[in-house]
Parts: sequence; structure tokens; C-alpha cells
Amino acid sequence: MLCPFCLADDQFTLEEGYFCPGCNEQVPAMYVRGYDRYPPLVVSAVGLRGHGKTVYFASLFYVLKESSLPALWQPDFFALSLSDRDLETVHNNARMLKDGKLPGSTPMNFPRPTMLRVAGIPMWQEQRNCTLVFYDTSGEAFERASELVKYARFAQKAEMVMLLISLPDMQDPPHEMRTLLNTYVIGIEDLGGNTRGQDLMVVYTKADEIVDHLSAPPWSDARTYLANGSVSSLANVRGYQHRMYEISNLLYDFTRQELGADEFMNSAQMNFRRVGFSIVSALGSAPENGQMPVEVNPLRVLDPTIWMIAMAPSLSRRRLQWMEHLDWMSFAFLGGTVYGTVGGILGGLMGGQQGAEIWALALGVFFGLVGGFSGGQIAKNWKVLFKPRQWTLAQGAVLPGSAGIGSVIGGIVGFLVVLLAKG
Amino acid sequence: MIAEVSAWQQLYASVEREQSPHDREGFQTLFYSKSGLTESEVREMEARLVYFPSGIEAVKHLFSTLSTGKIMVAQIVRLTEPDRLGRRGRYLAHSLVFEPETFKRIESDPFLVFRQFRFITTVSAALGAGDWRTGDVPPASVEVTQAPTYGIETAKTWPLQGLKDLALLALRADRLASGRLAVAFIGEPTQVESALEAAFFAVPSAIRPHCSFDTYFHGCNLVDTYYWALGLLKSPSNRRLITVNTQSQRLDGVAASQPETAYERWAMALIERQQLETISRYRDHAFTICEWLEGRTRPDSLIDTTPSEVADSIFEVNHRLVPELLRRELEKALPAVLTSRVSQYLGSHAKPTDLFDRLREGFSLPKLTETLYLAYESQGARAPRHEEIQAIDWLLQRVDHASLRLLYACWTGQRDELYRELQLLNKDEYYKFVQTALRSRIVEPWTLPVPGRGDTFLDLYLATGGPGEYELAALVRALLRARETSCLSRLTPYVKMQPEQELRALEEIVAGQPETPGPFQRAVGDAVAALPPRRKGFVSRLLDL
Repeated sequence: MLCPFCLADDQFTLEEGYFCPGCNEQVPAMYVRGYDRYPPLVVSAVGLRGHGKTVYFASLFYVLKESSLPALWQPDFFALSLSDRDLETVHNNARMLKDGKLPGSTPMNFPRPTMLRVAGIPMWQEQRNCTLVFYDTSGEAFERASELVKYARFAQKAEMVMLLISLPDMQDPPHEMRTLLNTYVIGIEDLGGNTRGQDLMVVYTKADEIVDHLSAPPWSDARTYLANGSVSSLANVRGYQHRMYEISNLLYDFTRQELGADEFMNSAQMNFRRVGFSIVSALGSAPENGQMPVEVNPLRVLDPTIWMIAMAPSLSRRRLQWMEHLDWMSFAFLGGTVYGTVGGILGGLMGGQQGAEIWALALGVFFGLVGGFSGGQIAKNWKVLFKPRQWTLAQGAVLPGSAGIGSVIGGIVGFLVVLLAKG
Repeated sequence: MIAEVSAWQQLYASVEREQSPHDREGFQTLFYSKSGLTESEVREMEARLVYFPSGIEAVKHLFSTLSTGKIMVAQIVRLTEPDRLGRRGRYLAHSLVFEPETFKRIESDPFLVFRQFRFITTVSAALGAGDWRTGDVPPASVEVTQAPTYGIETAKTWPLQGLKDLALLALRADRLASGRLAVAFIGEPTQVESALEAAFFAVPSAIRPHCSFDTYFHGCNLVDTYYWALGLLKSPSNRRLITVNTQSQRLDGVAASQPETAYERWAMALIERQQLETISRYRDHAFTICEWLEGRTRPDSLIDTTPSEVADSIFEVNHRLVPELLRRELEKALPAVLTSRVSQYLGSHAKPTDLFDRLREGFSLPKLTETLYLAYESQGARAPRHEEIQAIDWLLQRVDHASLRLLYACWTGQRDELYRELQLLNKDEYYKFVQTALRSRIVEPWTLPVPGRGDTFLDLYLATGGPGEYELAALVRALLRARETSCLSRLTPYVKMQPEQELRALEEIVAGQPETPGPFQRAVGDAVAALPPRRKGFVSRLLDL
């Protein structure tokens, strides 16, 4: 299990609570007990000072806890903090934004995570539940690779890294984006990691301040997307995702054509598994002197998180694991059907006109079973050869089940064939 | 007493670009003393300079030892002005870094620094302190007034049990650190600092650098920056943290621990007796002695200046450790088989304070040899085991000790050597040795007479009861060999008590030594004459043998 505090993979010891043997921290019981059902996803925000990492997280907490999401995603959605401290952090951040205040600057430190269990997201079954583990450190930590190694080593554990870019705060976006990305790649390599195993999500923050750049076609679509980006638009998640990917493609073009950040893009595509884009406004409008003049209205802040959950290999793999069983189950079923049919015909022929139905059923079922088992076994062996894995008892039970269903259907088909021949 | 020491400085804050000597905004080291601090040390310090605001206006105090061994004492204050983005949460840290030896000159006491040094608290003062061109800031001169009473007043505000618990936790800081266990002091930073000062009270200078602390750890991460003690506003969720409630002045949910080391026993005993001033004055002395008692350090100058009453108080609560120390010290000078004999002797014949003096002075081989001889003498000079006799041979090759050499000759049956050595003794030495030898019967009496000591020998010999059966002839021969013929007359009364065989032998001796005193000759002649006639023949002669 991943220790959320020291990031070591370890088995926690149980003694009046769960403790990490590496760092001695007490790990929330909910985290440990729900580890399989709610697997952790490290949410790693990378960005320069003042580009909105802390505010983005605060806004995310606000949306998850204060918005109408539970009403939209009925009946299952909820977000639970895993410890008193998490509860306090989420609550304080959400309340701060609600009161129109902004969080302070984050000091340079290796942060304690904030953990939030999110369940019932209307996506694939295996993507519905997870534990989001948020780490927030200062932008100064991303100015040098050595600082990243010291203060942001959590990024190595992230399946998708969110690169938060505030264009209004950049003098020379192509240069600064390239430098930031370069620093990140060096830092992860120095940590012994590999960015090619990570997805990169470029998140344009403070989007409310760049809408003027998006007013002309073809970028105006992004402006419309942002403007319509309140939480209520998330009612249909599948459709939402589709639109999100469209905007990502648009922002890809925006980054190349409008910003001229070609080297950044080339580097990103070479060094990361996949690259996506999103545009968010954590507050909905710009603050004045650290205070919000109007009520906070987060726009599209869930996009990076939805993207991360949808793309996270650790969650998708669970879906694929289930899908992988389809092949041998199909083999077993088809084998049962084909052989059962042959058996049924043979039974009819052997019985002639006398008791053909009985023979057809008996032989159909028998041959169907043989065929089903053989087909399943062939598929299984084929899988084992190419992808060694231990078979579980459940998988073993499904095999005769599939074969049996196939054989019964085969028997019935044979019986019908005989009846047809008789008729 | 006023002490003035030098400390390197580091100034760290969140500033705007135009305020930065490095032309960048955000958290950064503005200046540091380049004469004493390396860049990697500065990076290490930066990782500790973390401050999260809370509802209180806390001033954070930090005490830590860097990986290079230098001591860091720092203060962090919150800056009220927001940054250009309107964000709060800025702060300014001013750190002093001491060489360990320099810090010892102020008793390794960070509270003296916190109380008496004027840390920089504003960005403008910080920016004015250093050189913008080089980023350098000169070392600071830290002048502190020391008094033995410092810390006592704070310690007195704690109940005895609470103070003992705090002291034990501080004394075990090193062990806690090895298990990454920490002590959480719950309260506001000023309360935490007061409790920490009480905890430091009984801690000697040598251990203090292990007792790193952060008086306001709010929001910080122990995984990244370990401290022995953390000041927290409320109880932590981690049950492995030992919790000290600064308001109720007791440990929460932890059973009181027992002292385990010599120093812990001493400190606990003195706290119990409320002798806080003795602890304050002599904790370093006591710690040195205790470490020496437990074999961890060599004695140093502090031991020589330890008052005997302090030494007494240490030995009183650690009496079992003294023989072990004695044995260890003896093993450095003597073979192991001799060590236990000497340590047993010293253990039973010397007072603890005398032993302490002897241990403090150190053992010389000649003194140890004398002690070893006394040990044998006190045990009747009985012959020890073979290995021990071999070890004495080793010892006598290095140290000359006449009496032990004689004992060695007795135990190994080297009569010629014994005779030669006995001749070298003066009268008193001869008397003393022969007395021991005769009393303990470690050697035949007739091996002891030497020229010029016939009467002395006979004084002692006759006092033990005179010659037994079959001893007189051999004795007479020995006295004659030593040319102590004149003393034979003192044996005259014993002649007639001798058996026939002995008388015949005496008859032969006297016949061959005409200078034998007349009375002795006559006594032998009379006694022989009174014997029945000798049997004739070969068989009879055989029977007479």
C-alpha cells in the first residue's frame, strides 16, 4: 500500500490504529480499509508561484463539498474526508471561499496530504470510486529540480500531473512553460521516476482573466465552454467528457498557434504518455486585495479531476481486467453452443424417429459441455502463455458455468433441429 | 557571567521581486554568512523554516542541529503585509548558526539566545542587514548573560512528577529520534517554550543538541523535518506521538517511565530531593562522570573539578556501576585473570569515594601490583589457579615487586630463587614475608632461613609451635647452609622430642659440623644414647629406614 505521508509502498502495522513502519505516521483507517475499493489517486499540482495551485485545490474542495453535485449525481455520489485533519482542511478551505476570502501563500515544504474519498461518480463502474490524495506545496518548489526533489517528490507517484499555468502571470509564456516542464522532467528523473509513464494535463488557470484572448474564432468555443462551465453542466458526465476532449483539442491548437509554445508541446508529447488540456477558473472572477468582490463561482474546476479519473491506468486496469475475461468466457460459451448443436443433431440421427428428443438433448448437453470446457481451456491456456497470471477460484467457477450455459443452448438447438427434421 | 560568541546568520522571507537581492519573488534566503555556511546547509535550513498561520499571532522558535553538526537557533515571525497577489501567509525567519564548540560556551542553551538576542523582525531591517551585491551577511555577535539560576524558576513551576517526565523525555531525545518518535507539547507557543525550558533544565550540554524543537509546528510535516519536540495548538491524531499537556503540566496517556541510565538516576533523585540548584550547577560534571561510569567516555577535566559531594550523590544512586567501572579500568592495565582479584579486593576494602579518587587518578602498574600482593596476602597467600600464576609471571616481567616475586617462587616451587630473593629482603620485609609464609604454610619452613636472618626466622618459627615430626633435621641443615650455626642452640629443647630416625639424621649432621654449638651437640648425643641399640643385619637396617 502507498503511504500517503512518506510515499513508500509498505504494509501498515495495526496497533491502536494503522501505522506506516517507514515514517511512523498514523494512516487513517478509512484509507487502509478502503484501499481496494477506493484506490488512491495522487493529485499533483505543479506550477509556478502565484499560478493558483492552492486556490485551485480550495476551489475543488468547495465544489466537491458545497456544490450541487450530490443532487446531480444521484443517488450514489458523496465525498468524505478520511481524517479529522482532512475534514478540517476541506471545511476551512470551502468556508474560506464561501466567505469570499482566499487562502494564503503556501510555504516551501513537503506537504501533508489532504485525502478525500470520492464515490459514485457516474462513469465506468471501476472509475466510480477512488481516494483523491492532494498535495500542495509552494511554487518556489518548482523553480529548481533540486527543490522539486526535496519538496514535491509526491509528483513521482501521480499517474497524471496537473501543470497549472496562469497566462496572465507570465511575461513570456512559451519560455516559462518550457522551463517549468523541463524542471519537472529533470526532477522526476532525479527522483528515479519516468514521466513517460505519466499523463500531463495542462491546466490554464485564472481563465476568467484570459477570456479576451479567447474572444475571436476559433478560440471562442473555449470561451463559451468556460462560461457555461458551472457545476450544473455535469449532469451528463459521458457527454461532458466528450465535450471536454473537444476543448482539450482546441486548447492544444491554442497552445501551438496562439501561444507559440511549440517546443513545450513537442517536449510534452515526447516525455509524457498522453497530453491533455483544460481551462479553469477557480473563483469565476479575479479577486481584489485578497478578497472576492463577488460570490465565488468555480468554472470547470472538475475537468482535470474527471480527466484524471477517466484516464488513470490504475482504475482503467481494473475495468480491463474484467474485460479480459470475456475472451475465454466467449470461447466456452461458443464451444458449448457449437458442440451442443452437433451433439443434438447426432442425437437425433442416432435416435431416428424413436426418442429422438431425448437423445438430442442428452448428447447435445454432453457434447456442449465437452466443447465448452475445451474452448474455455484453449482460451485460458492461450492467455496463460501470453500473459502469465494465477487463476482465481471465481474465474474457475465461471468457466464451467459458461460451458454449461453453452451446452444447454446447444442441446436445445439440437433438439429443435431434430424436431425440424421430423416435421 | 557574560559570554560573547559569534554566530553565522541567515535571513529568509517571502518578498517581492524588487525587494530581492536575487531578483526573484517569493520565499527565499535573502542573505547568509558565506564565511561559515555552505549553500547546502542553507538549503537544509530552508526546509525547516516553515510557518503556517493560524488564529494566533505566534512567534516561532526553532532549535535544531544541521547534518554537518552546526547548531541552528531561529526565530520566525509572521509578516502582516500581503504579497502582490494579495495573499497572506508571508513570514520572516532569522537564523543563527553556531559551531558546536562555540555553542557549548553558552551551555548549549537556546533559551538564552531566544531571551537575550534581538532577532530581526521586519523585512526592511532584514534587507538592510546584508550586502545586496554579494548576498552576504556578516556573522552576528551574540552576547548573553549566564547565571546558574536560569531555568530553575521555570522548572520550579512544574510539579515534581511532571518535571521528572519532561527531563526523561529530553534525556532520551536521541533514542526517540532513532525511532522517529517525537514529543508533542500541546499549548500556545509561549507555553510550549516554557515547558521546553523546563525539560531542558536537567539536560547536560552534551545532549542538548539532540533535543531539537519547533515551538509552533502547526501545519508542518514531521515526515520531512524531524524534531524531538513539536509545539502544537491541539492534540495530534497520531497516537504514537508522546503528548505533554502544557496546561495540566503532565504527560497525556503515557505511564511514567523509570530512569535507566546513571545520569537519569542521578537527575531523578535530585529532582525528587528538590536539589535543583545542584543539577543546574553540576549537570555537565555529573553527566561526564555517569558516562564514564557506564563506559561511554573517558574522564576529562570536568571530573577533576567535581565536588566530592556531587560524586557521592552519583555513586549513591549508581553503587552497582562502580565495580563494573573498576573492572573496566583494571582490564586496561592488567590481564583479565588478575583483574577480578584486584577489583574484589578494592571493592571490599575501599570506600566508594576513595575508589572514585583512585579511578580518577588512574591506576599505575606498580600500585596495582602492590594491591594484588595485598589481595593475596589478605587471602592467606594461598596458591591461585595456574592461569593466574602465569599472569603474575607476565606482571613480574614488567614490575619489580619483591614480596610478590617471593610468593610466585613459593607457588612455583623455585626454591633456589626463593632463597636468593629472601636474602635480598631487609629485616622487616623478611619478617613480614616469613610470617605470612609460615602462617599460611605455602612453603616448607626449612626453605626460609637465609644468612643473617636465623634468629628472625626462629622467632617466627618457634612462635608457630616449633618443629613438628621430621622437620628438625631439615631445619638444622637449612640453618647450617645459611651459616646461622649459633642459633641452633635455640632448638636444643626440641631435640629429645624427635623420633629415632630424625635423631640419627641429626647425629650425622652434627658429626659433620664440628662448629655446631656444644649444647645442641650434647643434646643430640644424649638423645641418641638413650635410644635402644640398633639392630644388626641387612633386614633390620632396611626396617630402620
